[in-house]
Amino acid sequence: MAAYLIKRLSQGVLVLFLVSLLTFFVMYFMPGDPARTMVGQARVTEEQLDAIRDKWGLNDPWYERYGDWIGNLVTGDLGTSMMRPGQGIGDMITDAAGMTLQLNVLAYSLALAIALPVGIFAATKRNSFLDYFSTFGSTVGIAVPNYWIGIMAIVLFSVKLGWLPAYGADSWKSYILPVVVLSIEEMATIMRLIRGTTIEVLNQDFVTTARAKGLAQNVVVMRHVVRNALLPVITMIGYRIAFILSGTIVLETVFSWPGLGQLFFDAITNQDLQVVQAIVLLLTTVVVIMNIVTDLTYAVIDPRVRVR
Amino acid sequence: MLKAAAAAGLIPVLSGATLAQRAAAQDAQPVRGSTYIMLSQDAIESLSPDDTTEGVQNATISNLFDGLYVVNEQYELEPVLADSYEASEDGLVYTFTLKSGVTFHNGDAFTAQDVLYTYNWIMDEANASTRTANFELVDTVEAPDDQTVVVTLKEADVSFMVNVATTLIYPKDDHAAKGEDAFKGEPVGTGPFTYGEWAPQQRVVLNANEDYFRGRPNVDAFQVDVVLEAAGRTAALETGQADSSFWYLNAEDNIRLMETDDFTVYEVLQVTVNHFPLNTTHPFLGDKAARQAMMFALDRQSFADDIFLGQAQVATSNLSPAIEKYYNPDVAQYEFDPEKSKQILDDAGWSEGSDGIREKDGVKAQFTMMVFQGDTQRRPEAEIAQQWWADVGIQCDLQEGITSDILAGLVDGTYDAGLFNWVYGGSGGDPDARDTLGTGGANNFFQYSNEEVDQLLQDGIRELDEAKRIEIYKRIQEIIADELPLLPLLNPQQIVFFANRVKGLPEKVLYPDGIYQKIYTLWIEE
Repeated sequence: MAAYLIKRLSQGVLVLFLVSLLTFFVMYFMPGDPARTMVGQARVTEEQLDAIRDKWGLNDPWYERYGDWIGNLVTGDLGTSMMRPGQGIGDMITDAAGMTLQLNVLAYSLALAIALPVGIFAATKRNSFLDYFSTFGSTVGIAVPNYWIGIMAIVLFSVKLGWLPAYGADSWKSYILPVVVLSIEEMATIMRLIRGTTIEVLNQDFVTTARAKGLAQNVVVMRHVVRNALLPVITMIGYRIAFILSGTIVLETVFSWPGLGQLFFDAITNQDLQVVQAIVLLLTTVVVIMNIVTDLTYAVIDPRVRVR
Repeated sequence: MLKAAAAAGLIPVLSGATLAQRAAAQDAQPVRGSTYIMLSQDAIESLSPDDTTEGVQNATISNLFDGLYVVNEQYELEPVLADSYEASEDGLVYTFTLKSGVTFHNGDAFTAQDVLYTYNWIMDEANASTRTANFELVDTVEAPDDQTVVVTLKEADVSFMVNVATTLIYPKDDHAAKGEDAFKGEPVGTGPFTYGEWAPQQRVVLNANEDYFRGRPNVDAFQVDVVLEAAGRTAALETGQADSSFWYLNAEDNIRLMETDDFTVYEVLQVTVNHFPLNTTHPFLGDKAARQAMMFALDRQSFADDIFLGQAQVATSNLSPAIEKYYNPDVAQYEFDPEKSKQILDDAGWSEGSDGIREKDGVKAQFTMMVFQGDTQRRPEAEIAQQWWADVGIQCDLQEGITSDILAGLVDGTYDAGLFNWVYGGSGGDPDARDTLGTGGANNFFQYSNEEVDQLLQDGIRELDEAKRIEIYKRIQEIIADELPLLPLLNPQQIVFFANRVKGLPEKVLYPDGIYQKIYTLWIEE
């Protein structure tokens, strides 16, 4: 196990390095002029723009810029943000990631809490009203864009009914709409998957055997079926959680949620290389770690994987 | 003998006595308390005066800091940190008498040394300040005593009061100790509000300055909430979660909100021009006749009616009618007339090719227009124009790009044409357009070079006689309307909503952003 972990972590470091290099070159060759973005429509001279470019090292050769960044990173210095020099990049990312994490953990918890029992129940009561309803609901939940649902939710619950705030992340009320809206697509996806895997497992021989031995249906389902049905779901959740920090930018915009997706988008638009690099490194690290965690969890749940 | 500058002809300069009279004439009695909430369409990236180039940041930061003067919502210059000023007859020396007894938020006394420090910091190229261009013609700044600042110019600059005297002032000791980068997150000014909280992607909270020299604000706090989507900002106004939005709402929402009685509404023509900038060195676009033909092929009124839903009017040249004093309506007019467009192209030798695209001497009437990525409001103008031009034999291809890349590419001649709004004179009420219409200007998006315009721009900035100055800028508009380095489409309206609970608002407004310099005079009545 230790050897396996070391091997996977070493691979992860290599991935991080390659990703940072790729990100650097994408940003370096990206068209645009951050100096112009900074001055906006203010009166400006070409000398002034050049002075701003010099100040931020935008005129330096690529190897100097990359070298400076790597050198600082090794000492734990993420650099200074061009768009927001008054705030440290570490603080910027921590604040934003924290907000995105809160949103996603709550949304996933809600999605799992509803999708798992509903999906399993729908599978065991096939062709019932609940089965049809949950299938239809999950189709709608996957098909309808969540940003549209978000905007409609704001119109209904904030504007028309006045029950919930239209934006912000101050009070518990302001969490309700973004969490519920974000959970819908996940709920729909998990529900369809667990229903499908449960149906598949229910048709396995060992389930027939368990029934033949006289076990009650709920015992058969909870003790034998669910554990097997969960395996693909865990893989999927592990995969999706890896993108938990980056996948919510559209919803963050709709609800003005001060999260990492929005920060990432701003940094790219402003061509703030230091912030983009820092976020990419964070996201890559999360993906690498989540892949390892998913593999290990799989081994815990499925003894066959441990033997292998 | 010094006399008050004819720079006062630029925009009116109010005296302290006039301001006091206006304040005394106000009927209603302010109520103290509550928080005023303004919505921002972008994250507030900084709280330093050096980052006020963007409108909403300026509206926020100008409540933390003061300048010697400020341009108010009537396009008048109001004294703030200065009591008065005098200018020499030749317009080269400005002497400011500063108010006494003013302190910064940290208790430090405000003196002429702070003005000296601020102006010199901006002029020092090593600091790469965003405001350096405003100080281009400043030669020296001196502080002979704590209440006096003397600014000497290299040449007369009529825009000096608007561009320089309104500069927000740093606290010398605090700013020098922290450095600009740290200061952006730890601002200390003389303004009506003090720093409270800064979560850039979420909100800024500024607290009332109990010791503000112009009177403690009526509201306890000024809060700026970041709401990125226009629909979200509309919802926030409708639910009463906020008092105003700095940036525009969607046109459909403007109409809907105006039909309610829930808001004080100001409808003001903007100083920006919605336009197509054209590369005048392009083989086709470089032909003045071609550009004029393109104008006749456009039904700009339908843009105003159908795309902007009546919330814009057809533009004539580089200046907007919002700058009343300098605006010239008597310039070349371009009514929608596709037949005339075709005639002009025929007369200029652009004959129709077999593929329907005109050509002349092997050059096709073809170019690419760059549109900003995600510019859902303006893109239809380009798409419709594309069709109208195709009808007269001109091919226009559209391509999306990043804003800063398009702007830089137009300046260096990489791109052929664009579509956006820009100010070509009129910022702060001043018609100067040297950096946009002058040869080699940093924002000359057209590769445009006209000797007469260059001379007029230089004359305009130096002319102290108001009547002559007006003629200079009217002549510039005539030339631009004739030569068309840009195709002026519309002057959009700015429609601003303030919740009814906000009191103390002016009856009429020429410059809505100026209201945010006056938050401290407003109050909330539930």
